[in-house]
Amino acid sequence: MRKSFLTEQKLALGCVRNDRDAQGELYARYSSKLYAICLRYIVDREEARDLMHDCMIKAMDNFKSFRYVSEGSLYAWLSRITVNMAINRLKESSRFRQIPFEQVSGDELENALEPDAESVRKIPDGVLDKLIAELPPVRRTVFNMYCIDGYSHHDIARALGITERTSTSVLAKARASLKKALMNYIDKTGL
Amino acid sequence: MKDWEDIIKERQLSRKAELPESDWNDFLSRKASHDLAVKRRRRFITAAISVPAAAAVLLLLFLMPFKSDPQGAMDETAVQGVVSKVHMASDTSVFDMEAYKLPEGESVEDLIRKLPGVQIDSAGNITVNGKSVNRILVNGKEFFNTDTTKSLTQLTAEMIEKVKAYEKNSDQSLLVGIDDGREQTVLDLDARKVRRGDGRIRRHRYVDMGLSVKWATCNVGADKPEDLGNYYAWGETETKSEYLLSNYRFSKWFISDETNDSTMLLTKYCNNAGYGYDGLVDNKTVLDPEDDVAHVKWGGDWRIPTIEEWNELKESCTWTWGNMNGVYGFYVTSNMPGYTDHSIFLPAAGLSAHKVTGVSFSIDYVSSSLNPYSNQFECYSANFTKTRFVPYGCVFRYLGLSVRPVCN
Repeated sequence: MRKSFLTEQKLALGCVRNDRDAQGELYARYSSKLYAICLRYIVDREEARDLMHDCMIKAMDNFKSFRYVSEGSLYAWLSRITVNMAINRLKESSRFRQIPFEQVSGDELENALEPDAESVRKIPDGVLDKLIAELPPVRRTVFNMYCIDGYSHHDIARALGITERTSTSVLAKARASLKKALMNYIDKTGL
Repeated sequence: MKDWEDIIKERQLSRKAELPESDWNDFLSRKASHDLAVKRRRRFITAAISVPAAAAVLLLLFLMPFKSDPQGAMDETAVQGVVSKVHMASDTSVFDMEAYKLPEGESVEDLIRKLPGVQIDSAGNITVNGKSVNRILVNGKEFFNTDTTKSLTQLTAEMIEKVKAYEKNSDQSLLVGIDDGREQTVLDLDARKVRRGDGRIRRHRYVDMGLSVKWATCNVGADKPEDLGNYYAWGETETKSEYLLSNYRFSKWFISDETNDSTMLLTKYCNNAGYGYDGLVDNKTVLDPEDDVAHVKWGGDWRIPTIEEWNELKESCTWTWGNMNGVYGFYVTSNMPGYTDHSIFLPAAGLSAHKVTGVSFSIDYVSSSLNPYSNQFECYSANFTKTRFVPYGCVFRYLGLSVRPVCN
């Protein structure tokens, strides 16, 4: 019979004890969420799945360092590991390294209209993912870290090995290109 | 109204991605090969270390008497005694005042006369190894104005911990950044930072902050306030290379006859029969002195603070984030009347496990109290990050924590 792990705390304790049932439960609860995070950073589905597996393995190996504070801290911890590992994986890939961190030219930032929030809400999941995925790798990473996962420019700079100023300017570019892409889509489909 | 970015954030964070059905099995096989690789690596490392290590030790023992390193010997040379009267640290001569027996009320001038190689002539000019001293600094800063000799007689020798003599570039060259060759010989006095109520027990310094207990200035295993010191699991008195439930001092494998399940159970400090080995319940929630690493290592009245004492430190003191000699941590300064200049420094010592994985940036110090409300595997800790302090933080008791002792 499968043991029950009702609370996060019980689940965590089970994982610390290396209980296979607890690990299964952990996987069932969090794998698809972590997979979504991986997909945001690493577009390729197979690569992202490998990464998610590695993150789960890493989490299970290092469960002793998990600290329970309140309901939700387990997901926070797992997602932190995932984002960190995703960034490391990205930095390893040659494509990422070759992108120069060029300065923002003024005209690239101009004439991008703010998309309407309600229209953005109506864009289907798949399309939204595709639009973000089409950003150049560095911009996409900075946008993901800052706007979605809530990292500060300081943290981003440290993680990616760039200066805070570069991070700010890359973010501005990422926003501008994403805005443009969103507006294009909204205009085209008339949402 | 919500921004388009907020909408994207909200939508992306709530997303789940579909996984193929075989995913759990794929994962299991990946994990199995990973576990196998780890096991193999461990076996390989132990084998790889033990054989060459033994050979290396033998070789070293054999070579020892012939090994000489004149360059290294020049850098750091100690002269005589347990606490040497003078030693060289790179180009600085350091005179440690602990080596000099001084009668009470002696002035700094008298003290300087006693230093080997230092002379004061009748006009009050000081020379070190034949070079005349141009400036006298206190704690590295300009303290005396023009009349150095007069000021020297007014300072008492007890205030001085160390005297350093070194060459310093002139102010002008420091400003311009070009060495103009005009070096000055400088005498630098390290003032002792001991105030009312502070002292030592068994060589270890404490600070009286007007609280119920006196706090040590260093962690267990550290020589300096900013050193992190050693990590100890709750109730253990020795350090380990890995802090796991399986090698915790008070845990034991229990294998159930009925279900054949194996679980880790506790052999001491347990209040819940469900977690005690053989149903052990000893109702102990505070560490015994023989399991208190501060008491065992430092002796005397030293012990690990209780969680109430940590809370008192939090409530009655001002915590400022800062850095001491490059190590980040909190300066904890007393708010008690009459003690406001008394402070200790708590370096940002992480959990041993956190240090390894780098996932968390929180800082933990051990308390002697078990958390009676949660399961029996947790003790209270003082847990803080740069921005918040959780005195009743909980941490698994088999993890390695830093220890800052107190005494009554």
